[in-house]
Amino acid sequence: MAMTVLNKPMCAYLFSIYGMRLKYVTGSPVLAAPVNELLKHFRQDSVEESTELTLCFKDVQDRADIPLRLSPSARQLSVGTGAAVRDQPETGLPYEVIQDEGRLIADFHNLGVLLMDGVQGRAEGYLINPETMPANLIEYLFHLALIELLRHRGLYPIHAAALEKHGRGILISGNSGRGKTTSSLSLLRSGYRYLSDDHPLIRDAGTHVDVLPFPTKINVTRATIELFPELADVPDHVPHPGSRKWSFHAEDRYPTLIGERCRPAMVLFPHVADVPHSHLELLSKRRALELLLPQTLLVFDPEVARREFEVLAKLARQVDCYRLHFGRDIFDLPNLLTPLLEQG
Amino acid sequence: MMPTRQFSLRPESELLVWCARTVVPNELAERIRQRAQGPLDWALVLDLAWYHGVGSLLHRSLSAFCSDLVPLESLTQLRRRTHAVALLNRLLAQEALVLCEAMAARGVPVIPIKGVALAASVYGDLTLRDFNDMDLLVPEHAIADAQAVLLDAGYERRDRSSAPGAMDQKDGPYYVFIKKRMLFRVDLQWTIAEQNFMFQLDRPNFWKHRVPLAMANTTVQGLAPEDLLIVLCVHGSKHVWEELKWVCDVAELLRSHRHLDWERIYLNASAWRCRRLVSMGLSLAHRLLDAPLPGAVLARFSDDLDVQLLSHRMPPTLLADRHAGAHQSEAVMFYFSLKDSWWERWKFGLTLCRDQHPLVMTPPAWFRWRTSLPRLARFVFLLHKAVRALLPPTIRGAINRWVEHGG
Repeated sequence: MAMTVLNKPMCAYLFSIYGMRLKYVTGSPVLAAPVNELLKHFRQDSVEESTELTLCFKDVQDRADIPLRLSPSARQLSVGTGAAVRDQPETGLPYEVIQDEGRLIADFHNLGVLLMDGVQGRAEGYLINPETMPANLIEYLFHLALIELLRHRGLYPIHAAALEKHGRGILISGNSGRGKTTSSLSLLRSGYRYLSDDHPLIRDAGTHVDVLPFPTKINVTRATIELFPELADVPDHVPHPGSRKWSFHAEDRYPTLIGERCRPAMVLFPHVADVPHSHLELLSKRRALELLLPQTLLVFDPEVARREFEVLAKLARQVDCYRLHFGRDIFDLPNLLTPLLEQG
Repeated sequence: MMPTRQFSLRPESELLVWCARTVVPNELAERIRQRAQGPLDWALVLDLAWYHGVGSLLHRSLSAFCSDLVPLESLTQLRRRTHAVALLNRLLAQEALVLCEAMAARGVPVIPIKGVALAASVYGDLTLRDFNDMDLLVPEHAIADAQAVLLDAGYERRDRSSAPGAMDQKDGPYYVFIKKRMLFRVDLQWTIAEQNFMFQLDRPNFWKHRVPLAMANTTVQGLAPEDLLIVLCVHGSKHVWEELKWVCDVAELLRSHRHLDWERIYLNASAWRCRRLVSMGLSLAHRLLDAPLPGAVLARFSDDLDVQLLSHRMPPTLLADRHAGAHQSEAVMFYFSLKDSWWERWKFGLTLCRDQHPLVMTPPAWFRWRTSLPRLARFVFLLHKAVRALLPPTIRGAINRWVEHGG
């Protein structure tokens, strides 16, 4: 049977992510636009040396067009829905993860397949009729492939919001609905610098762990918009029928710059408390690590998992970790956190 | 048959209580499935589970009986955190073994108590019991040697006032050690203490009746189950049974050790003035978690009004009406209510009145002596004033010592 991966002219887009030279190759404008938006802060016009990471995404018209051949030694590692990957509703996709020799295969059934080789630094994506997909889904699938490659090179994503002030970082970790975005917006409007809304990177810097910006659009709900008057005219879009989303670039709404690589000093685990005033509860390092691990645990390579665990443990030792009982005084949060950050 | 409850649990709490056990009979498993199909605040279920230290047990039961009924996101969150707990527990257990061996090599007697030891000996699975640190019982005379072992192993002593949760640890005489650049915390203990509460752990009986405890392919010395039961009941009572995991510890001990020497338990508990604290733990474990108890043991506290009343009111965060519960902030009234004898109770009451403890004048609604204790306090206040005016400090000091040390 003839393979019908569409034979369009391929374009290469070049990026540099913390010294990692990355080439994204696709022939489809539909597949190019969301990735260029995701990585707009990492764009390079030219790459002088050879690239370390190459991601190639192609559009196909039918599942049968995906050139996926499994060897007899292929084994299933995980199966389920996208809720196991992240907690955004758009990622609630059935999936299957297969280890096949050096490759990791993430099969999203009717949406497409990702083939990733972390050691070689190569990933291929085959998306079925991507013109029918919302842009954030394409961005999500690309991001999955990207972080798998970055992990093998010592850059670990963590599910958290990240901000910086005077060279000291705050990570706000936790699942949706816990006040993560609201607390980070409260800090942003008081002059904190933006690092990431959902997935900053952490890296072992020898004596300590660094947090590295991965600035993306901030996603908010209608309820969050109503809390912050400056967000009243944030445009919405409809990624799926029946669902509306609002998102914006931090630098468009706040007098803030994108922050720089810094040393995290504090990790917060917020939860919304029905109390007038927010307060902090210091957590033991053990408890903090217990809460941090689930934000990164989906790692399939044992050696990568071990290294990632060590970096997270180092992070937990380095920072003060607090449970934030987030009260109704949302605009006063900087008054609670900044003195601690400055004296830390 | 389920014991009836005076104060109802909220539906989410009830599900948690049904799941927080290693053995779930078929009839209860069916009830879990039915409850999981009803309207539930799953975020609250998870929050309660982690607050009460029973997340891993909840995950185990939900996965076994109704994984198809639990919202996927909740089950995933629970699974991922359970995996993290399991990983860290194993690391902590390995470290506990290393420390026990190092202490043994230095001739320091040591018994791991609570978390890691319970997980191994009572739950039979290191991953099922939530624990945050290593609690090591050492004889008071060997504290200096034990400290030396910990310092050699890379630990440093920490000021407890700066430790997480320090606000809850008002005056417990134990030492906290943290391993440099690591995540491990060790508490060296020889008593269980809280403000107005003290129980000696360093007892000849405990050392004499030690039993081998299998842990991660090796053996250390642990408390005999009879002694462990007393310690668990005293420890849970110290915290007014605020967390369900402490009730689970008692229930699982009763499930895993069906032939306890009850005469010895009650004889020791009486001698150590904690008989009713033990009854309290047993009553809670039986009432909440269906822990198996011989009829003769149930009969020992079936007519104890305080034990019966209070065991309906704990843990307060599980109750539909939290205000009906007995809270840790009311601990002194709980200790007062469960003194073993009339004399001990009123001697303790005199101390509280003399110290003008705020709860004496505003006791909680559940407190049986809420009329008489404030009256006593007013009398003691007037008496104290008169005594201060009439007696010299040396005689006043002697009276204070008489009240505090047994009359």
